[in-house]
Amino acid sequence: MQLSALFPQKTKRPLSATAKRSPQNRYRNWGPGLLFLLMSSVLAGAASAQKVTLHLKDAPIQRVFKAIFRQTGYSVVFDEALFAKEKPVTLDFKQASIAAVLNSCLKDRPFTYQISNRMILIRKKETRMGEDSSGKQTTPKIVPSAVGYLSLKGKVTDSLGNPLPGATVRLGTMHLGTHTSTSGEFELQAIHPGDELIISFVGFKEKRIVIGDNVRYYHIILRPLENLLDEMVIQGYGTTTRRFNLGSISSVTKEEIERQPVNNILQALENRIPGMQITPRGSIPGSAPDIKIRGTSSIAAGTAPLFILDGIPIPESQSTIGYQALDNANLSLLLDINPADIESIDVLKDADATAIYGSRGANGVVLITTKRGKQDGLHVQLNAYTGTQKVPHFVDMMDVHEYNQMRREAMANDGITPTAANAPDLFDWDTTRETNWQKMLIGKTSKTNDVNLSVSGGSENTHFYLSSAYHNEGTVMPGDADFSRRSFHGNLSHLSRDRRFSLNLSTTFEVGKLNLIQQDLTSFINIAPSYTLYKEDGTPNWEGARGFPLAYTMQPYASNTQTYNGQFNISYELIKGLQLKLNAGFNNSISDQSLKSPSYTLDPRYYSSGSLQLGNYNNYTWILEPQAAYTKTWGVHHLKALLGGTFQKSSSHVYNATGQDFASDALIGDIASAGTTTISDRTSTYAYASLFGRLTYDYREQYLANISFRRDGSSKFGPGKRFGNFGAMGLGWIFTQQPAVKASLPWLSFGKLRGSYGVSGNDQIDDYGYLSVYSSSSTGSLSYDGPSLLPSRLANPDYSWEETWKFDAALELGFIRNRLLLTVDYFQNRSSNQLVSYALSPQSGFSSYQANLPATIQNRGLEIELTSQNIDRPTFSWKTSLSLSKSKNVLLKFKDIENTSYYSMYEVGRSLGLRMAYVYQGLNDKGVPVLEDLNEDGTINSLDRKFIGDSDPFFGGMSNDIRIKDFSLSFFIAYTRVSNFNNIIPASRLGVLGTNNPAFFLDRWQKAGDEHGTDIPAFTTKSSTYNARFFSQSDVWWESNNIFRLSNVSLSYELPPAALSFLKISSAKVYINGQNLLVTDPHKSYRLDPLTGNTALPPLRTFVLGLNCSF
Amino acid sequence: MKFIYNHLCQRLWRSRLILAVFILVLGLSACSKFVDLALPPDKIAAETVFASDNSLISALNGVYGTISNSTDFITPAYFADELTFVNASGSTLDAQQNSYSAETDYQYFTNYYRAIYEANAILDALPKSTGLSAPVIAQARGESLFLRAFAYFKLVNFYGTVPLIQSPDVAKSALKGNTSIDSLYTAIIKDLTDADSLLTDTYPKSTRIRVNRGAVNALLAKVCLYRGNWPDAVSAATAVLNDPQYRLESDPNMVFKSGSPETIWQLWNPNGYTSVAGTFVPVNTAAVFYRIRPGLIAAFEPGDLRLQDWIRQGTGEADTLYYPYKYRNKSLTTGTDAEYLVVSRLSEQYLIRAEALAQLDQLSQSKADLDQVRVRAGLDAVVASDKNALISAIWKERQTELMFENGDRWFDLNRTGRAASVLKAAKGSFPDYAVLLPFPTDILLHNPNLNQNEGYKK
Repeated sequence: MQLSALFPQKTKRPLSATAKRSPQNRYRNWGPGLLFLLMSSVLAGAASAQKVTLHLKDAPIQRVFKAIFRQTGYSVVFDEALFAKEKPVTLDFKQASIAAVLNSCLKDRPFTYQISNRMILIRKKETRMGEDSSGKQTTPKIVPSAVGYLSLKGKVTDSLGNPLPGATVRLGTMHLGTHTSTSGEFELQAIHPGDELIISFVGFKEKRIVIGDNVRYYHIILRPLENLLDEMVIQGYGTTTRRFNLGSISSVTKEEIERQPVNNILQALENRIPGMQITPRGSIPGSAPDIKIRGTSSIAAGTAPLFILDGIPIPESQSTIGYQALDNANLSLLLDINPADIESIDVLKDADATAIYGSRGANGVVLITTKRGKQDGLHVQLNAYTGTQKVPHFVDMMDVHEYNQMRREAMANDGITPTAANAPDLFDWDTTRETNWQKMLIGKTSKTNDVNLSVSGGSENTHFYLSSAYHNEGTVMPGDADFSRRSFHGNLSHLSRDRRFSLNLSTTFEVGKLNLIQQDLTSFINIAPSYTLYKEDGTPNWEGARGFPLAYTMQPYASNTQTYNGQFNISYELIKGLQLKLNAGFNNSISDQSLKSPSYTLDPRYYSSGSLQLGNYNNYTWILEPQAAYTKTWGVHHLKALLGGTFQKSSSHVYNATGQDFASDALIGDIASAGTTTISDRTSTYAYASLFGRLTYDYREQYLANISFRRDGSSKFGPGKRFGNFGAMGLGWIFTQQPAVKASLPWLSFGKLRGSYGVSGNDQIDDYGYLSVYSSSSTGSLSYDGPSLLPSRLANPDYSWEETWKFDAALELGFIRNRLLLTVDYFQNRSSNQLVSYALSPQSGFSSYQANLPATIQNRGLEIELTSQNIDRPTFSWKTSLSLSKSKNVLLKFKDIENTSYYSMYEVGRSLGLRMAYVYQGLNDKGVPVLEDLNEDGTINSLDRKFIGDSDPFFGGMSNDIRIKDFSLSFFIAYTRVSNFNNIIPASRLGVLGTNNPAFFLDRWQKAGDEHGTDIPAFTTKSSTYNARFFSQSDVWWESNNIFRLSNVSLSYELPPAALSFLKISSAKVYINGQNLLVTDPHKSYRLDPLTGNTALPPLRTFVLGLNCSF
Repeated sequence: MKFIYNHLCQRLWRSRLILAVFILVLGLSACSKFVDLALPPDKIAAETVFASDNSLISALNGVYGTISNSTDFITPAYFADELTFVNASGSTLDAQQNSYSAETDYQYFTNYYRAIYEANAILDALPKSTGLSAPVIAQARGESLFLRAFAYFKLVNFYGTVPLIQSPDVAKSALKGNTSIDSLYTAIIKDLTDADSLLTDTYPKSTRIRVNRGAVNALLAKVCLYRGNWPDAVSAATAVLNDPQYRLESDPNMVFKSGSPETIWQLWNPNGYTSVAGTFVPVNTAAVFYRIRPGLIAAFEPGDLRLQDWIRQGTGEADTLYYPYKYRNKSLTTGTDAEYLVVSRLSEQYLIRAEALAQLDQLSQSKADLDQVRVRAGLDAVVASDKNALISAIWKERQTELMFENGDRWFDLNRTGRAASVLKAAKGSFPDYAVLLPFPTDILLHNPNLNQNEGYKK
């Protein structure tokens, strides 16, 4: 058992990067006198070195102790104040025992000593150590001499019986203590009954026990700490606590993720992280939402943050074979991650937190950490849920009579007489048939099922965690389309007996299968109600305005994604405080996609045979990160240093093939049977190397400082431009550590001011952009006489990193013993050297080229985060979290913008999200919208728009977690301010053949004079009547709405243990979770959802019923 | 501090630490090499392209490929009085009604300037390259100049005063403003004259998919005709017509086959069928989507073989509807039955010379040329009382002979100044300015120096 001495701590130290969950030994300023502790690392063979050789003349007595410590490795504990006035000592010993030396030097002095398990305690005779130099005693009791003391053993565990190694056990009055062993055990000597034992461990509540007269063994159970300040915060290449963190880092815990029955962890983050804006663009599984952290910082380079899964950068999404049902035809690769395997998701935002990621940190960093094993015992957990999903509400569309009336009126307005030729819907179609296309196309109730089984456990030094899960969900569209995911996650960690060597192996293997249909059918809900799917002869009716919509349900799109993620982490404590680490990892995501369009699903008037599209995407990344971390404490100074390097190589290989002219639909799965094939095969590689470091220092846990730097080299840039330097400095002041502040503001339990400034970069551009290259076009429309060579782009060897300078200042306050925590964070980011795909007139041969622009973009904003433990009693607890983010984007400067191709898109002094609108002047006496010709050039075009507003983000959320006895209820309300053109106003005319409209549009212009009462134009079939695209972007449709969404409700009941014991179940919980339950949208009557409008599947209302058992 | 120092000295395993630092430093010194990557297999550096004859020819083929990617074989038939599409909407409807606005982009601008960039890149690289053989350099220069001239000829006829760009350097090209039509034609004629001196009569490929002097002269004849330079038009056309490797194909059904002796230049495709046939020829003849306007059908004289061979009628309800049938192959076809899109053919050269001769009042020679085309179509010799009647007859012959061929009719109506009168009669309305397309707004937005065409601004 390892013993060392320590002294009272008011607060716990941050978890160091090198030794998680292990508090550090350190000195404390204790009372007026300075207490010294001489520590040693326990070295093998030290036991034989208990002989001391000393030659001292008139030396201070402290030097004796130091010499003993240095020569024997024994810690010596003494109060320096007590020795301040002691006479110097003269000694001469050769190979003497410690006892001989001490006896000699303490002779005739009022001190006694005690050697206990490699530790020497020196104390004043006949009095307690608590007495300070003024002689005032902290405890009135006079205790007997050291000889009368007892020895005590015990074990410290959590409530589940897991041992807590490294917990601190100390005597409250004597400042003598120890750490528990890896099995949680401890032993103390020289204890007296009546002494108070204080047991503490990071993350747990401190416990105090008065030692009884006859008890010699204690089993101490610690309860988890509710103090939110000491929650672990994961930062880049390490961890810290909320108390000592200097960066702007927000986290979502596993509990918050587990409550949400979503398929993609990104959905679970929506509105929960201040500053992180996640905008869904549809609800088809695999949809990749738009993600921005602290606003848009780049005109044209990517704005997505860097995603890191267990230390390995992973691609967040990838392109598809042009599969349009997913927004941007992009597939979210995070869909493959099983939300139940996530321990935490931490989002790094400011310079202090992101500069260590250098060139990739400008858009923020998302750290995803998976679950790890626990000690002792075997824990088996089974979680299963089943539920339903459906579109929350439908739009009120015109019925068939209103539709017919609209058509007749439109033609009358146009002066056209309806005939069977120009209006088959009024003549040939059944004008009384009413089909509810919403019910038909997106009205299904789909099922979702999820099973997750995990086994965790371990012995003292080795822990493991294994989980396997299956998830399945259908869609609300007709047919058998579904998404399923099988995942396996394993984690194994080992710590050597001497606690110096550790390794951790983490692996994830996930298979996602998307079996979807070709289209998101939501955009078809406006088919005329009288359209019939089949003609009288039973063949598909292709002659509606939108073809035969069910054809899409027979065009299967399949995507099989496999993600392998493996991480290997070893660390070795070379000398005390210095750890060498190596993090190695790889990530491989493979996606096999196919889209089959058999001939019977294609309009026979145009096509005679079917087609097949295949796509194989392979992304491979390996990373190697050697690191050295050093932790040192002396006196009131605490220092942590980190130095490391990164070598990363990523390659992607995309293989696409399209086959046409199949002899038979039966062969459509076989590309080799295609009459003609088009193949494209692209490889790109990205290499990345860097050196990084960080220095963290605090003085008296009051003044904090952090410096980080990174030098990055990336293959994306031309020779001479490849390396860039990034760095940041963070400063903090915990002012509540100041006695004066403490005294004057007793209600303030915690107060910290922090600020950071630094630079990080953005390199999210295509590979090889700096090179003038030709690529081969062997097939496809551009090949000529066999393979031909085509220039890939306009080359520019001179572009370089985009840089974002980030300033962040925050005030963190804790009230009522930190039960109420408030963080107000102000940031100002300025991105310059904008890396753009510079848009050109195509007269240059290309419509863009890669360049840096002399433009600066500023994002400035405020984030407020409030966490409150409203009620915290054993049977009733209630916690509320609130966050709000608002930011303003400004194009600060753009040299010479009027001579660039951006002059019509952006305006200096305005947001990049600026919206330009046509000026609507009302309907004329024919019911046609009149738009103002602002530049008076006689025509309406995009130059006739004026600034109307911007789409700068303003969003937030509130969560409440309430527990009453065995019942828990939590709910989350998301808030988003949506500023945009009302997204339902059609970009085409009202009144065309085969297209129905929401009943909202019935309030249209009908006759002269109506223009004073309505803004809905007259029905018309003619495109030339007005340009609807312009009208839909006119100021009359601009709006800002506050949208509140009850996005999650979770209710659970913990079954009483008594009822379970006979089943050998240790705990069981039943729960009901609901997702997307309510949304406040002022336009519900004609809009499915305020964000997705009527063109993409709205967020589905999901209810699941689940059971969670532990064995 | 001394204490810490001593502590470190005593405990530090110096050698191991030094080793670790050494490895780290060594590793990081390798960084600059580490991030220096080779190109992926599907890309080659520009220098490599111009270092060997074969890759240079592949790059040259790339320019042809870009030219063949143009869609101007179809939309100009809407602009003119040739074709309608059933249920037309959007840009197609605009094209048929000549009501196109700057918001619609028919892509000619983008595509032809891409070809011009590619040709410029070759012309720019050739003088700097080593390792190429002299005949290949001359051939590549000649073809590149021809292709650049061809692209400008198209652009000037679609858009008018387009920017003249003769360098691949983005700094010189990106913000260039309008160039006058005269300057553009001067540049076109210079490119063609230079190409003529560099190329030979022999085709580099047997299938006439790359150009020779004949193709250069054929385009030069057309350019001179458009410019009203009758003598040069006659001499350029004569140079082609005198070349024994060209003769009119007697069977109209064989004119558009890949081996036709009439072909001067055709665009290669991988499968022996054109996208023209894929578009125009219906899968189901009961559903004709691309319909020939009645005026064109009426323009044929009785007994015209072209009405029978180059045009088809629908069946069933749609049997009164006609669709183009010059190209028929809709699936993989090999050998002599293959079809490549013909850009230039001999019968047009007869018509060019006939028109230029008529303008020069050499009416009998003119009639002789015109009759070459008429006879092949199974018609009698032309009857024309005077010069004007003869020119009208030639124009009408162009309409029926060259219908649906890469927008020839649309360009013809414009160059002869008849667009407004003819199209007003055929469609009811035609704004005078609609002879030129507007520059798409997106292009104007990216180049403030480019002025919009008349009629599309105030």
